[in-house]
Formats: sequence, structure tokens, C-alpha cells
Amino acid sequence: MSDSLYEQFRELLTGETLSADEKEALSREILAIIFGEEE
Amino acid sequence: MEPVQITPKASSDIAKLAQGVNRAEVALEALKESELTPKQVQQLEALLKKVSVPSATTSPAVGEIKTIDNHQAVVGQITVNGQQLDTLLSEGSFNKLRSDQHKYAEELGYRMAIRVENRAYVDSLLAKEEDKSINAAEANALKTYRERYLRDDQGRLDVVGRGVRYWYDDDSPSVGALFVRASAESK
Repeated sequence: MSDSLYEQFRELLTGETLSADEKEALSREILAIIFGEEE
Repeated sequence: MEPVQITPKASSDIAKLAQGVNRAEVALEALKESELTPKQVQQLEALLKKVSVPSATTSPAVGEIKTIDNHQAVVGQITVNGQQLDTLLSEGSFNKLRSDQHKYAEELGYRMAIRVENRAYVDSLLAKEEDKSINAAEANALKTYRERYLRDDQGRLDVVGRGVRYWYDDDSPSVGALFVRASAESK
């Protein structure tokens, strides 16, 4: 994936702009997209 | 329904989650190491757009920085949860001609917007805790906030009501104060 996309997610998941619950929800969605597509 | 094939990578990540490893760390590792299909990239880009974050990089929190009458303060407008607020940075030694002080005030505004949001979220969690409607995830979030944000030794912004004491790098807390007011109240 592009570094830019990764960096944007990294900022969201490690920064202070999202609450812990929001980070948890975002992480779940990311994992669902990545592993939901895998064979 | 066809059985789901668990790849070694997915299996490893599931094991980490079971061991209590931070889910965000797992998600970031998966983002970094997985070979994503174009469709997955598209989905991730859509997910990014869906997450609305008023941060310094995605949505400038400070609309304007300007000096006010006595030339010893700057006021910056920020938007938090749709509400427009003024941050008033006041200090005796403020020099309106020094661009670095404007920049510093602007950075404070960005950080303040995030802090105000965090505080609003914490307030909602405290209310839930008080009426015993808080769930386990929220209780965990509140614990994190208590440890990381409310005792703001590292953040160097001490939120007191709508006022914020701040420090320059030389640990001189007397240099000024940042106050946040609803714009309608500000003059």
C-alpha cells in the first residue's frame, strides 16, 4: 500500500485525535478489510 | 458458505489479539506487511474518508490568528464538534511582530481543539460511570484517559475548565494563559 495511506492510518491509530473506542473500531474495520479479502 | 481459509499471517495476528496485543498495532502491522488488492486499497481509502477527524492535517482547527487591541494577546478561532470557539492567548511579553509566537499560538490552537474533544469525550464517560451505565470498553477507555490525558504532565497543556496553562521549553509557566470561549461570548 502507499506510504501516504499507511501514514494516515498510523496517525489516526497512534495519535490523540481518536478516542480509544474509535481506534478500536477503526482497527477492526481495517482488519476486516484486509483479512476479509484474503483467500 | 465456503469455509474460510486462515493464512499464516492472519493466524499470527489472531494469536496476537488473543494474547492481548493492542489491536491498533496489529492493524498497522497488517497494513504495512500485507499485499493489498486494488479493491482493498479502495476500501481503505473510503474508510479514511469516513473517519472525520478535526486534526491539524485533515481539517485546520485554527481559522485565524490575529492580535487584539492591547497587542499583548492573540486570538485564534477553532472549531470543535461543530462549535466555533475562540482561543485567547494572553501574555505580557507577547510580541505581535514575532512570527514564531504566532506559530506557537497556532500550534496551541490545534492541540487545544484535540484536548477539548478529548475532554468532552471523557465527560461523557464520567457521566456514564456515575450512573453506572458504562460498559467494559468505555471503562477501559476512561482508565486510559485518566492515566494519559487528565494528568497532563507530559502533554504540557493543563486544561482547567476553559483555561489552559502552558509552558515554554524553559519550564516557565508564568508566561501566559490560553483561554477558550464560545465565539459568541468573545469580544
